[in-house]
Amino acid sequence: MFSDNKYKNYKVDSFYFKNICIGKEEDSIEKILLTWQKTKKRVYVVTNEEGKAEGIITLYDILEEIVPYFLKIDKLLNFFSSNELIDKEKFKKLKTKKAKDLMTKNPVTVKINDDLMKVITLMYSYNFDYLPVLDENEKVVGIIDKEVIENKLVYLVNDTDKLD
Amino acid sequence: MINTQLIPFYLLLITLLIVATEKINRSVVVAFTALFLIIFKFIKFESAIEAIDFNTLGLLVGMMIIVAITKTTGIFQYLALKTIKLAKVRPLRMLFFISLLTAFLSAFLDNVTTILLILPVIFFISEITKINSLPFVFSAIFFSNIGGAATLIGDPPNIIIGGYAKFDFNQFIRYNTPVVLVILFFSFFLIYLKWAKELRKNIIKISIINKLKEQGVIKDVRKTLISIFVLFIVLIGFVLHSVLHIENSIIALFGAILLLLLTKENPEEYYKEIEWPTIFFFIGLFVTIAAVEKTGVFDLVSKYLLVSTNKNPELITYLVLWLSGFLVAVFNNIPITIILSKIILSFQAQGIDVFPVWWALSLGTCLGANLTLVASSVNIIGADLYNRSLNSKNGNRISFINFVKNSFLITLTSLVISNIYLKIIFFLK
Repeated sequence: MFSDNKYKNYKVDSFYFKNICIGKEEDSIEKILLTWQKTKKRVYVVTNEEGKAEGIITLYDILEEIVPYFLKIDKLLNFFSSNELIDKEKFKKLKTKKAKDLMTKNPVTVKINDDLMKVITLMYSYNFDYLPVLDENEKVVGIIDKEVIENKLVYLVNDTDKLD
Repeated sequence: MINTQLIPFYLLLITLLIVATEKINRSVVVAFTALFLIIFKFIKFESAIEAIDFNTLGLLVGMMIIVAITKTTGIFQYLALKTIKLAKVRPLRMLFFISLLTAFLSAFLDNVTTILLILPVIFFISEITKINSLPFVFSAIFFSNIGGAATLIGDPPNIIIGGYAKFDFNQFIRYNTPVVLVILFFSFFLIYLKWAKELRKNIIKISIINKLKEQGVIKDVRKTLISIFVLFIVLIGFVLHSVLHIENSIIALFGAILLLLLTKENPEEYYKEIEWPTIFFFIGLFVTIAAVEKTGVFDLVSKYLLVSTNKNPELITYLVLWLSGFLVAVFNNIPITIILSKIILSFQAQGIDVFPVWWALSLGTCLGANLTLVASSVNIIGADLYNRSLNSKNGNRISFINFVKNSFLITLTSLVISNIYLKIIFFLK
């Protein structure tokens, strides 16, 4: 439950995830996958020596490396699935790849003092599922994902009467 | 001293050179030239509007909407997969069938759409059978350009020629389709000679082919049936053009709107699919070339050509065939077709029987598109998609040289066959 005042003060600081997978651009994809497996997360934020965001990797970035090329240019052909399409070479190559090869560089970020509406606006405009959260010194301190936003929306919808 | 009257002509040459470099979007360059010519009064606004052939634009827009809706049904992919299944485990037969299907689709769809529908299926088959996709890609590119020559709507040069020469759909079927079929046969023979040995080495498991359930690509049966129905209506409209006396653009636009009406699809989604750069390119060219026409350059060129050929219609026909064939290999085929059409109209004004010359222009511009990598958008897109498909695999990229090595003999053979054909049907007494 929140008051009108509380709603206005709905800042990133109050709802972002602090527990995130974070690493360097030289980290291997294998390491990233193992980290995800352990932590049950599906996003990896790549930072530089100063802790600033360099890039972001999601499960989608890795799937894109594995799906057959034809599917990228004609999604109607997704009707066919068979293990014949497993390309061992692709997995071998994936093993040699590093975070810097697959990451989306210069990700869109939010600051801990930004409000909820900014997060919603950015997620909608860029169609992103994850937004790294930065502190005042531009260092990565956490992440906001769809699940967080979903929870907040349920909260807001249930309490619409209190928004008046 | 520069003759200021000739400024539109010089501007056209510069524009064509910039278009050939592909450094700036062709529609922007040509539209800029056209607007410059209007602003500085090289052509009156009224004359510029008059120069725009709305029949050509309407036909292009109508067909683009029809194809944009129809291709989302998966019917073309269904046809491609069905064709592949017919070939069973024989790679060469597969190559033959898929090449024929490409030519057939290209005769009714624009060439770029054809290649964008066929290549993913080729990569798909290559992925599951581990067969080398290169001969299939080359064949799809060449057959797409050749197949487009067969009908009025298969290739933009034919739409332009149809407009200027007042040729209808049936005339293209009567004069171009037979020679295109012969060219397809010889072209496949050349492809066979080059690739048969390699393709024969491939073994395709029947179990893989049997797994293909091509019905899966069709997600909406109702929409598919409506699309086929409307395509059929439009084709009937083109065939009956001379009886109905309805312009081709109206038939195509009617088909497009009927399809939107029956499928209840969101029109905005498909209006976005109209290739506006191509439409603006056409509009800019119509205006620019009309301004050049006013300078009398085309009359001058036509008089020079008439003198040098001794006003011999047969020689003029062959000259236009080869000239257009080689010019489109360097410059874009759309401006070359419009410019040469203006020159042919000038021949006509000087009393020459230009009927065979139009067919020479059609064959030259459509078939010359196979000569170099930059001669047609199909070649550039096809090569680009193939090169990206290589990714982790080893294989020869399609470079400019590699392309010409594969295309030269096919293009030359196509033009020679066209020349013989023109001789037989128009000049053999």
